[in-house]
Amino acid sequence: MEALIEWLLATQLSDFILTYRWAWPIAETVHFVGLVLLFGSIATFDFRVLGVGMGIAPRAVHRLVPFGVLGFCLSALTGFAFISGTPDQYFYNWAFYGKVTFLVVMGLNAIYFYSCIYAEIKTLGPYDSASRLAKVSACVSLFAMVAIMCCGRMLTFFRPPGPF
Amino acid sequence: MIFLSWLEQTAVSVWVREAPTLWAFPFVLFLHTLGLGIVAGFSVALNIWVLRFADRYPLPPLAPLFSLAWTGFTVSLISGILLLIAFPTKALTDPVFYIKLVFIAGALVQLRQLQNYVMGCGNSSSLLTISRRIRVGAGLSLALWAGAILTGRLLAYTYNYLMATDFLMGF
Repeated sequence: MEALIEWLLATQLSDFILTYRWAWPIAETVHFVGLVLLFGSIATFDFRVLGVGMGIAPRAVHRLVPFGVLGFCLSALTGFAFISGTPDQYFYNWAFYGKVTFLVVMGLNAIYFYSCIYAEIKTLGPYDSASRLAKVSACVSLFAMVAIMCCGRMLTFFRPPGPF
Repeated sequence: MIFLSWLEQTAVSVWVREAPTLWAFPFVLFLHTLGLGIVAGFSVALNIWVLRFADRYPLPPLAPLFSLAWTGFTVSLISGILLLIAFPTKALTDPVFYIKLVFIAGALVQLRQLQNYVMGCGNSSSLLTISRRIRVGAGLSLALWAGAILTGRLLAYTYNYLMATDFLMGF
């Protein structure tokens, strides 16, 4: 773990985020813009799967998903910059592992959705309801996003014991 | 400043700021972020819909998202007031805080205007006429939410005084 921390601290990304005075707050802003894009786009689709927004076919609402993917990329890139800047703050922090756990849950749920459910979703008309399995997947997606936000917020309230 | 000093010593302020529990400051901050995610998230999704998809797919079926967005705003407002009570001097002596409020007010006015337009068209599944004015409003809203997020994050770095005592002692 300590070797990984030392390697991260030696990267140019770490140097950049720590050297420039406004790099961290700007990266935080981009991280939150990503969060808003991700949550807004994916939650809108999830709600349509749950039955909110009848009158539009789910596959049409799915057109928002690429914006959510863009948001995820923005948040992931800046998140990696934060970790490289202060790795000890993350690797000795239960909130970080909670966040990673729910990110994995979100990823596995997305894999399950696209491999087992999306084929059905594509066939639904504007007033069709999704299957129970699709609704469960949408609920898991919403829950995982809120949990990721919660763990992300708790990150700053735990400080590493050292030696870093 | 006397008022700010008094506010900082109220039970609510002391509890949110100093209580050694995750249910105090950390949880209130999480609620503020969750509220932001909901109000800005659905507002952004609706405005992306206006700009990119409203010429091919109807907008009125997405009207329930307006109610969800206002619920998110309520959560953000209540938690924001609690955060303000916890550190009133920090926010109220920082010009960036007022800029943030202006950005949020602008974005909320646009959200209400778009909601009024959509509701005024009934619960129709037909395509709405998206005028140039509505499109400009949608684009402006995306910029306003980005500005609100930027100023919100900057607050942690631009404040001059954390507490009233800092101000009075000239720190």
